Amino acid sequence: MTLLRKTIQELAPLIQSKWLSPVELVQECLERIEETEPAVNAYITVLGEQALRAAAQAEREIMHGQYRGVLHGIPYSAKDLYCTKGIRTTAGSQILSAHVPDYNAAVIDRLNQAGAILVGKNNLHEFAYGTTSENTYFGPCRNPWNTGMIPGGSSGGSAVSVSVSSSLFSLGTDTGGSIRIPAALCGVTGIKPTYGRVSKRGVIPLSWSLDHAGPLAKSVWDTAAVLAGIAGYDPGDPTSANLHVPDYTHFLEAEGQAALKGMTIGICPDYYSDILHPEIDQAFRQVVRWFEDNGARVREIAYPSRETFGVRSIVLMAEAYTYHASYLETCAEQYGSSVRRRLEKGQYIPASAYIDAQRLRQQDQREWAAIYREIDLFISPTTVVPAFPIGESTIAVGGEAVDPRIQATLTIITSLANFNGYPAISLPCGLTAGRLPVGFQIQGRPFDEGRVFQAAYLYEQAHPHRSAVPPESA
Amino acid sequence: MDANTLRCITTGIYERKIDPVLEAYLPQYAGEISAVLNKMRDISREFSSDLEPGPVFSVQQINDERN
Repeated sequence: MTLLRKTIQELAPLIQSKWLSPVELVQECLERIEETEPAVNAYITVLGEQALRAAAQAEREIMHGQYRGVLHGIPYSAKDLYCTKGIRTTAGSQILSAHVPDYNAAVIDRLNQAGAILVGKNNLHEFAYGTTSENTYFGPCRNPWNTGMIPGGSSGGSAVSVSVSSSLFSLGTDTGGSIRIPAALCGVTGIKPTYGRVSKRGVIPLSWSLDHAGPLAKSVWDTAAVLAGIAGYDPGDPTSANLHVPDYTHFLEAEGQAALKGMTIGICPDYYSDILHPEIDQAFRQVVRWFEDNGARVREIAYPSRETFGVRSIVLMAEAYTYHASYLETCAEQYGSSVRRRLEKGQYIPASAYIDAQRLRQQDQREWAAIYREIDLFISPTTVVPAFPIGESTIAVGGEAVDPRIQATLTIITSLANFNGYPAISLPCGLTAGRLPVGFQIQGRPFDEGRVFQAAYLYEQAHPHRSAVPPESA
Repeated sequence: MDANTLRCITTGIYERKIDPVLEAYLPQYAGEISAVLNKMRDISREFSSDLEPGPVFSVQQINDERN
């Protein structure tokens, strides 16, 4: 397990210098999966022999001087929405339980070219339509900090596998917060990049205009390195942006602490303060104070209003129903009940409401563009509540009992960056008294992931949260 | 909007059969959808007539803002 406690930043030089073999690393990873899976259920498919063959190939290449870069020989996992050639891709659903694609998602191909080693496909909330990863067909994914709790979702298995070190990074997707929410609840780092930054070709969709693909990892450096490896134009994805991809790791130490001096950071406490869990409130206040103490100017902004939260979901409901319409017609009984309930609602959204929601989006774009003329970054708590028990029928949010499977609670803050498409990272900022992770989020301008990573890295380096490991990692 | 309206949409527009699982949730959906659509209508009344539905954003828009 010792090797897996290290980050990609620490392991890559060992692999490049031939001190460490990818075979040894992948073997340890597969043993770690076997050790942790009974407790956390982070994987739907594990690729034992295939991963070891790929590791042996990586070792041969490196021994012959053909080192491909920092991801060469690094074991990773992928949310089971990413199509993988010849490997079943289930979307966490009985409906696709035997689905074996004959092609790779574009991002999987990029990681193959980078020499990264796929060790398995992660468990998730069925078809990504939920935030708890309580999967009725493959079993619930469990939070390694307390296995009676949800890990968040929908990329629950991705966050859990990174948290327990049964993969060194994972690919997730984010439609309303599905990378950042499990990252926050499991104490790891995850970024939803700018819309169009990472190709979604070959990723089973939930909502086309809200879906984003992105990585989760143990540290900001690792997350930046993976994003640099997977981002970039893909002519096969009509939403892909044809813009240069920098090496994001170069931004991290570019100016040191001086980068924060003079930076203006926006916060919007009015949006969430009446429903924010007190321990998350306390942790986030300390984050704000840290940025202020280190030279940033923090200013309150009056946007957005939570009034628009419900209507923003019109886009998601209509698009998700449209994708699933034929499955609902032919095999509706194979869905988990809460996912089916959410999907069916989408058929009742009239076209004019969907178009009005997209007009709201245009208006929202203008508001954020104006705000970012006054600020550099926007920060917030990632979620309004920490992890809660698996199977809990209702949870308290702002004094009200809500069913988190039906009423969006965990996505209240994160969904803002899906609606506007701006990049947003979640990283750990503490633990509750019950030792459940708390995360905060940094949102930047479109395609300005470098500045987002820079601020996140400076915070991370100044705080020991990264070194805390969950009991299942002991 | 009531459950019967939704039932007609499912069977008449989508030509699907209503199964008991879906039928049981129609009154709840009617209330929830109605609330969301009413809110959207209230908000859209304040839109200027030239406000178009946009893509998430366009690269050209980003380049313009950077310049």
